[in-house]
Amino acid sequence: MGERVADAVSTAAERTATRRASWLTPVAGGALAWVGAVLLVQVLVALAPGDAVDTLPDPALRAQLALDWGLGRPVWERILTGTVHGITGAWGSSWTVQPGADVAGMVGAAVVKSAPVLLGAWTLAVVVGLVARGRTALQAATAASALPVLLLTLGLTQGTNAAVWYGMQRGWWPRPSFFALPTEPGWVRDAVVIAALGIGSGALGEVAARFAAADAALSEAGFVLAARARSGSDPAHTSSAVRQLLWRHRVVPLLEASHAVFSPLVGGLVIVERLCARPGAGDLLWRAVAVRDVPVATGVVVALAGCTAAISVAVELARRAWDPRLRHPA
Amino acid sequence: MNPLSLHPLGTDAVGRDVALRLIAAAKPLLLGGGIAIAVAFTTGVSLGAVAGARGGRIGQAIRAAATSVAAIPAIPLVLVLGLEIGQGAAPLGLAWGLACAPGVGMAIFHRVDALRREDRLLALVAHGVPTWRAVAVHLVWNNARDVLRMQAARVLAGFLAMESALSYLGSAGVAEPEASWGNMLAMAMRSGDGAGAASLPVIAPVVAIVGVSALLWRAAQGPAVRAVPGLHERRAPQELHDGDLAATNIEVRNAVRTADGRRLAHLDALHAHPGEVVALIGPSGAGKSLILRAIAGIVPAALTASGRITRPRLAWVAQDARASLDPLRTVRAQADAGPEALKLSGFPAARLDAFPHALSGGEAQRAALLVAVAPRGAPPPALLLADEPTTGLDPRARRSLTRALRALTRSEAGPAVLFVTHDQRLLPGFADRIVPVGSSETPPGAPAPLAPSPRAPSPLDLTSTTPLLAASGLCVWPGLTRSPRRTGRGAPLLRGIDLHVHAGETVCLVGESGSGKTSLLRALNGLCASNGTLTLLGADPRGEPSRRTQMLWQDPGTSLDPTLPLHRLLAISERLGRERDTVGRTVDEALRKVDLVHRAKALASELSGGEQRRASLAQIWLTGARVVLADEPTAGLDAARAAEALTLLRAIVGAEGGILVASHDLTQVLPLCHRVYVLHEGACVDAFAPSDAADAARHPFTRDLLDAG
Repeated sequence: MGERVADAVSTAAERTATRRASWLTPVAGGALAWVGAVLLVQVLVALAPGDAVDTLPDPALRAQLALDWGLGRPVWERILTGTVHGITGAWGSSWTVQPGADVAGMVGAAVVKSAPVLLGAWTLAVVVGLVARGRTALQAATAASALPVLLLTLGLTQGTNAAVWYGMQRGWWPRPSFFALPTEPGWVRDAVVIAALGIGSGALGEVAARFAAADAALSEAGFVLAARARSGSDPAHTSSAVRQLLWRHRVVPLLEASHAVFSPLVGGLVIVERLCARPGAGDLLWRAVAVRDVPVATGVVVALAGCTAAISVAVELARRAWDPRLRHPA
Repeated sequence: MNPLSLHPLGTDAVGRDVALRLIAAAKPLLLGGGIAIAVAFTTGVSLGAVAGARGGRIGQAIRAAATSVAAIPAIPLVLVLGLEIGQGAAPLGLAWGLACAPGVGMAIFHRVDALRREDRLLALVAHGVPTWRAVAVHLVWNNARDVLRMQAARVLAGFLAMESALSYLGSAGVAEPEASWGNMLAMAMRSGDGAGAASLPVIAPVVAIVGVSALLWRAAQGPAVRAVPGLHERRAPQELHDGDLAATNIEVRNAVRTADGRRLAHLDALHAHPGEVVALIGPSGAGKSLILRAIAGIVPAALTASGRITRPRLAWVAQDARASLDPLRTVRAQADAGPEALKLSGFPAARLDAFPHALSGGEAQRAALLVAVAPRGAPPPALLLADEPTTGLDPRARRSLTRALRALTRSEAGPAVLFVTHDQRLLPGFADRIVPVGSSETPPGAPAPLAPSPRAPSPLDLTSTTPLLAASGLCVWPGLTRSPRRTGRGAPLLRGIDLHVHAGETVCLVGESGSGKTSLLRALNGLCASNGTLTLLGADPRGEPSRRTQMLWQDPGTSLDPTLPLHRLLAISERLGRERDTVGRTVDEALRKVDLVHRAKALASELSGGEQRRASLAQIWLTGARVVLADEPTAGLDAARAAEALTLLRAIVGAEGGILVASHDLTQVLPLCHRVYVLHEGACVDAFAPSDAADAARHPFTRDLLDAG
């Protein structure tokens, strides 16, 4: 009896350990990926020909920064120190974008400003990608997604301006507050940014293609065939039974697509925020690179890499929570 | 002179010819795009292929590095790299290539890894193809070319869009005075040219990017994507009239055809009454499963079905029981599991909360039956369609399933069962009626047309011969290896295996699914970790698979590169044979030997299952193998065809060759071999000659197998 209890306790402990391991693995993987990204950024900065500090006009500031950044120390030491600082959030202060300002604060505020745009573009891509069923809709989504974000943004802004101008000339409406896009802030500009980003970054095409591939795999799955056969000749029942199955099985492709489109969305964010003069992480990165503000540029890149890694971890955890084959391996 | 002839597209704000600059602007795009593709493919493809082909820790390390680089979004990475390597098309191309390399690498990794998991790499290496050639030529170039095309288009399209955008915005892209579509557009917009000069630089990148994206779309269109209509659509054509739901009889007058009108399956008439088991039999390829699918209304999209079908409430049990269960829900969530349904299906109530992937093979069959007879949220079926549900089951599980089906039909309001099988041994005492596909219905009560008994091989005198293959005290660990290590991790899968195969012998390994037959075959060829004494053609194969040993894989397509025509595949084997001094064996002769001359130009993927098996045999013959390790070569075949398959295998190996066959079906292989080894619970529990089976089979498991047959 005692042995049986001990066996049961040991089996339960093993199950708990297995379950914990299945949750810890993606978290550890995401953390490792972020640390690797931070290390890569520091390697790039350290291997830069010359020092960006030398371009600063103020000699006193140059000397101070050279001391702060340890520019006199060996490269490997600078890389390691920079990596540790990058991981701990000690990103220093801005050189030229906003001299003296705390980089972590600047980057944090910029990321928060960009978050609604990213979320809106992601939602647009996922919703349209989900709706784009069938060959023609899929081709249309892919073709729209092939348009580059630059041209899409210019087209949307110039088209809106032209339409507004035409209406004003005809006396249909007075000059609206959002006229003279893209520089005029407002909800219309945000809508243009979201539409251009969601479509022009390629996110829409990616989501639509992933759903199409998932549907192709599902269409021949034995349990879908069984459900279709079971639903017999009642069309209403066919729809509800099979549709229920399909939606449940589209969650994993949705999660994977969410992860896959984040990188193109962030890439497009740099361009679209710059084009529309909308403050955010992309705009900040552009300005930092333009004036060689290394702390701010590396800070933004490290923060974006952290967001990518966090989304990757969240997606993996959600997949494990949803799919019992990952949650309870046989 | 007409000024338009000098500047057909006009001039820009500083008087430069727009047409010439448009052409000049293609240069940085092509230069940078070319560099980006070269960099991304050099690093990404090589690392992705190595990670996919090796797997293990090296693969994990490469994937971890790729994930770290991929964590940085591409355009920010390009901007930061731009700080280091400067501006211009070439540096941008270099930076974009580095940024895209992880994506290319991961795409190649996923394809190569999938092929490795299907044992394709192992099959090529076991066949004698050098590993580097198998990976580079067969896995990457032949089987991942669509991925390469798609990634090339993706990198190029991304570079066009990125370069135009950065050049438009200035500072990080191609700067004036060098021409770029982006900076031309920026100048036109700034100078207020509007629709004139600005429109052409806009059109140029759009055309270029849409063109590249069209290539990408074309490359991305796999056959599956092309063939799939919306899943909500019924794929059976509308002339299949939906019948009366209350009906309990079915009547089918049906033909399934391809799009060009070729008839694939035909059945004149079929009736099934409540409580009746009707067996649909016919040779492979007769269209038994297609007819079943036509009745169920799930004919593949490329086919059409015609005829009159009165369709009652249906249930479907597929050949792969686990695949017919929803993997995301427990059995309880899928079935209305009352006591009666549980009793009829034989599914244990204690396992109702298990997910399908956690069920054993037998449990999965019972669960599929439970879901079929008592689906949640749907009425019980009046007709149960069972598509070869006993294929792959050992005799005990097969007997158990047929008994459950018989009991089901005899229950109150029991459904009719339409049962597709190739195994005629099941039919006596189980099927009420037998309907051969392609001919008229057998009259009720007519005897089943059983196949003739195969002829047993003649006994051999082995007293003075040295075995071709001998193993003594062999322990086998699961998992594949090509390293010469002799032990694996943890407990061995098989312990203390003693066996031998002499020249001219056909020896069978018999055991349940999962008993380690396949692992033992691989270990005998040095492809699984093992220790103990092992001699194959006079040498130990571990570390270096024997040059005169070939494997016949369970899925015959595994060893055939699906992208190559048959004659080219066989030419590879012919070359390998020449390297092994097998002089004089030609592709034409091999094709004649396996009766595939008419299919010489067909792709391996276009061959039927039987043709693929014969093609594999032709490969084996060309390499001049003396020992063949065959994994379930008789699975899915009736007794007569199984005998044919082994006779052909003997003809391929020759009278002096040795054959070791793994099978789960003792009664099927018993008349076909010289000796049988029975594997059970990690050990060889019995070894006997077929003539001594009744006396020599002592283990209860063996006796059970013999009784079940």
